[in-house]
Amino acid sequence: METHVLKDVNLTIEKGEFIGIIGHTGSGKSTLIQHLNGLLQATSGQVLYDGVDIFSEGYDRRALRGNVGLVFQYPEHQLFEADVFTDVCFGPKNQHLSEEEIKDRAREALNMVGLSPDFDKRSPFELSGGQKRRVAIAGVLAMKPSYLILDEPTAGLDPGGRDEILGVLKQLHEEQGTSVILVSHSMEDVANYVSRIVVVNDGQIFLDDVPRKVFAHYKELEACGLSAPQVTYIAHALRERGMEIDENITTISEAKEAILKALRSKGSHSC
Amino acid sequence: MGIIKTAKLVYEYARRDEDNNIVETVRAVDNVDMDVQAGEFIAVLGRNGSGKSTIAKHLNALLVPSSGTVWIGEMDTRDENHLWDIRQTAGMVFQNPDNQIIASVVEEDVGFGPENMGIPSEEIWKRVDTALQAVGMTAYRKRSPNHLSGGQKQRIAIAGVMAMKPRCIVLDEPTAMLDPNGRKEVIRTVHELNQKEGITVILITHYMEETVDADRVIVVDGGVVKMTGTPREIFSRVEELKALHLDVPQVTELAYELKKEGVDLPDGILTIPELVSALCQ
Repeated sequence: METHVLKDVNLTIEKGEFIGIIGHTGSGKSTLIQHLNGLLQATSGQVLYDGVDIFSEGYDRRALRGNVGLVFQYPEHQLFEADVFTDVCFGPKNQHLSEEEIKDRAREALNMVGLSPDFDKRSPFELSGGQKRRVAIAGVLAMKPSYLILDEPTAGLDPGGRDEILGVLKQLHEEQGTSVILVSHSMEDVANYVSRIVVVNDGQIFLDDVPRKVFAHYKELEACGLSAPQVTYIAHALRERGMEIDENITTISEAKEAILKALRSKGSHSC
Repeated sequence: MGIIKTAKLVYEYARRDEDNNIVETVRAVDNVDMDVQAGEFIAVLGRNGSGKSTIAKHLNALLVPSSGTVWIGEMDTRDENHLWDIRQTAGMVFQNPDNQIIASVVEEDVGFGPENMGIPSEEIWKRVDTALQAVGMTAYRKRSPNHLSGGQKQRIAIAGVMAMKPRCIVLDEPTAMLDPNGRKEVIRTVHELNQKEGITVILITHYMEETVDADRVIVVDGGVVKMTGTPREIFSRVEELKALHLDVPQVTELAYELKKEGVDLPDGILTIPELVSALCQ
C-alpha cells in the first residue's frame, strides 16, 4: 500500500522571510522541511534552490546543506565533541575552510547565541538544557546558512529559555538577513515572531498567509488539531460582548492597544 | 500526614573530572518541605535545572534523599522493603511518550505493569478495561501504539500507570512534546482522574495555562521552594515569575498590562471569562 506523507505541495520561500510552519503531530511538516535541504528526495515534483533543481545531475548538495541549515528537534542529543568550541567547529570544518576561518566562525556563532568564551572549553554535557540547545544551534550557524530551518527549537525549554532562543532567531533575521523557517507547536510563539504562517494538514498546505489572517480561521485550525493564541480568543469573546475591537488580534501588545482604545473612546460603556 | 510528605529533603551529587576525581558537590534539592494531601492537584513550576524533576524522582524512590526524608503513603522511601509498594502508590509519567511504550498492542502495554506485579490475568484484564476507559482510549485497545498521535500515546502511558492502581500520579512535563490538541487531551484526562477517581496529581510543566485549575502551585528555583499558593496567588506575582525564567498565561499578562495602564481589574485573572466579565461589568 502506498500512502502520501506530502501531496501537491507548492511553496516558495523568499530571501529574508521569517516563516512559521504549524501542523499537528504527523501532519507532514517535519517531512516537508527535510526536503528543503535534500535530506529527502521527493517521490515526484521538484525542489529548487535559486531556480536549480537540487536533484539535477552534478548538483552540489553538500554546498546546499551549508546554505540551508537544518536544526533538528532536540539537537543537543547530537552534541558529541569533548568541548563546546570543538563541537561548533564541526560544521565549518566539513566545509573545507581554513583553520582560521573555522575558528572565527565558531566564535562568532557562539557570540550570536549568547555564549561567552568562558564556555569554549566546557563539556557540552555540563550545560543546562537551554545552553546545550544554543550550542547545537551555534553549530549550524557557524556554517553561515542563508536559510535556517528549525524543528521545534523551544520544545522542553522553560519560558525564559524559549524567549532567549526566539530572541536569537529574531536578531539573526534582523541583523544578518538570515531567512528563518520555524516549525512550532506554540501558536503564541509563532504569532509573536513570524510574518508568514504555513499550515500543513494531512501532507498538504492548508493555509499560507500572514498570522492575523491565518488565526482568523481558528475554528478550522482547531479541526486540524491546532488553535489560535489565547489573546485571539480573548478578542473574540470581547467582541461578542459588544466591545468594538479588531477580531484579528494575535499578540498581547495588539490586544492591549485595542482594548485601551475601546475603553478610552467609550469609557465603561465600551461593552 | 499527607500522602506525600518531604521533610528537609536534600539531594546532592558529585561532579567528577575525567580521572573520576570529585570536582564539586552539587546540591540539586535544598531543604524542601512538602506536604500533599490525598486528592490534591499540585502543579510544579521551575526553570530548566531548577531541581523540579529531581524532586519528582524522589516521589517514587527513583532517587533517595542525601539527607532528610520522603514518605509516600507513610512509607519512608529509603526503606527498600517498601520499594514496590511505594512505586505502586505513586506512578510516574515522563516527557517522551515513545520511551514509555513497550508492547506492540495498546492493551498489552497497559497490562504490563500489573503483570509484573504478579496479578492474576483475569484481574489484569479488568484493570486494563478500567484504565483504558478512564483515559478514553478503549476504542484503540487492539491497535498498535506506533500509529497513535503523541497525545494518545501519553494517555496510554497514563493508563499503564492507572492499571497499577496508584493513589498518586507524578507527571514530569507530559505535554512538552505534544501539539495543542494533544496537550488539551492529556490535561483533561489528568483532571478527570483527579476529580472522578480521587487520584492525587503532581504535574510538572512549562505551560503556565495548564496549571490554572490546580489546587496549589509550587514554584521551585535553585532546588528551593520559592513560592507556594493557589494559581491566583502565584500568577498575581508576574514580575517575580519572569525573574525566575517563568511566565504567566496570556490572559493574565494582558490583564496585568491593562492594569498598569490604569484599567480597574482584580489581580491574578486566570481565565478568558474572568477578564471579559471584569472588563464588561
